[in-house]
Amino acid sequence: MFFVNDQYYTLDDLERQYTVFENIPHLKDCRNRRLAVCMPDAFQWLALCLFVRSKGGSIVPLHPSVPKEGAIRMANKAGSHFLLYENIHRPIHLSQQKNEKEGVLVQMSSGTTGDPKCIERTWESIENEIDSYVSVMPADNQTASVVACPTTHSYGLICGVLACIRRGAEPVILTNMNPKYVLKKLKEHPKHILYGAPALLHTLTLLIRDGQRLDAVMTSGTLMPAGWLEALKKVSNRVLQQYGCSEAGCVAVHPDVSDTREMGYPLPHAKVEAGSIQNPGEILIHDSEKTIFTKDLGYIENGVLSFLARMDDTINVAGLNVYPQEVEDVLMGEPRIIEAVVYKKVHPLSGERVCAQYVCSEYIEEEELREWCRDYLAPYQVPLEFKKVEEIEKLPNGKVSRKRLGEGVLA
Amino acid sequence: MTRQEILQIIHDILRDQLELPSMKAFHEDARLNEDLYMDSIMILQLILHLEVDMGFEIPDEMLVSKDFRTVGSLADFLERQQEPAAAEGSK
Repeated sequence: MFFVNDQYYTLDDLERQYTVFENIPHLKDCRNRRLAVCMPDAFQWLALCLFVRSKGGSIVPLHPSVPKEGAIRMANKAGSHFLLYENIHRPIHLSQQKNEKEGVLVQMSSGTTGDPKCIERTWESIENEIDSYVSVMPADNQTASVVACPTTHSYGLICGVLACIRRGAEPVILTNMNPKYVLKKLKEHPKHILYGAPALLHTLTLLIRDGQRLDAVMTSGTLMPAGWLEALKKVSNRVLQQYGCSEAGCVAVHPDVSDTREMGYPLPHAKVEAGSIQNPGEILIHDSEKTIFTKDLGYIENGVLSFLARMDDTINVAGLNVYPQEVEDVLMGEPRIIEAVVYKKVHPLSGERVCAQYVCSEYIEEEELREWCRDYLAPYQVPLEFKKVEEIEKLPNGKVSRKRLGEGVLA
Repeated sequence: MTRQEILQIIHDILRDQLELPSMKAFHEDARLNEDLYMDSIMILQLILHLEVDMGFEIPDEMLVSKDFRTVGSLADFLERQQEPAAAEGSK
């Protein structure tokens, strides 16, 4: 059925676990109930998720690192009736109130701008997504999905675990933090598709030894810097990328990425709309029920969806659009720069201006940086303000909030 | 390598490579997560520097989170890692 780290679980193991659940009143009758779940044991978590789904109940997955008080707060926010914290036998009762809809998976959206919000998706819409996803995935029932990202988020849970089971293969779920252990597991499963976030994938490319190669690698979540993608491609047979959002799940897959901005071909279950290469526009996703405004700016060219920037992040310099990622790629091409983030600040008179923060390995004169940028960028793209920092401030989910960085006003 | 040297190496990586802003709290008993505010990505970076720059051989087994709980427990772990190598050297 699936692996969690070194442990293999069969369908029988899963069914035995279901029997345990059936004997616990609050789980047996979970139809039309909403359960928040925070479990250190990935097998128990997945078994619960599959069980509640089959019962028509709702589930609110919480990452196992969330402390108890935080879990209670998030569970309440999501309208949960009770919370299972590290233990299935002692539920924490939260609410008796009826929710409008049950039979849903509740995800906290990443909330790069502002407060995270709760997004509900019916199990049926998730089934549709999985069908559609599996139909385009260039992987067979001999290819294991190695899931080295949280299975409490859509990416790991739906695309990593559930889609792999659907195509008849056995997922390998890795919860250990050791990147060398991930490399060993990949060696043990030579036909694999690895699901990870850019930071892990980059670490693996730096640690890989002895001619070991990765088979297929999926990236998602944030844009990978161009240099990281290039290095990853050198040690992998194939690098894929996918794009989506919590509301709609995955809506596009690129089976073989060479440009980090290319998110790939829209999946059959969703209609994706965006501007053209000359005139980029907001990426809109139409599914059977609704239209989702992603606030992502992109375009479709030759059937391939490309992502340019979060719309809120695009910098309008006197009518010309500057996409932060483009400037960041140039800055990170300077050998002494380790990390860079580009964001806007609003000047009361001159409007939006490009600003940059960077982390460097040795001191760089600001003038040198400007020279470097001028060699690669149009004048309106060159940052007005450079700020050397020890560390770039991140949100709790590891993403950079360009909005937050730009909250200062230009002097 | 002595335990003291290992502690110094951890200190230097956290200060110079990861540039942790929380270095004031650095101490043998400082917890990586709660006191030094390290997240999982920083732990990845730390492992990377220990292996690639400092030549520690991080085993490809599952790591026990207890070993990565405090600066001191990490130093103990690294000290144990070099034991097999030291034993070989003495043959």
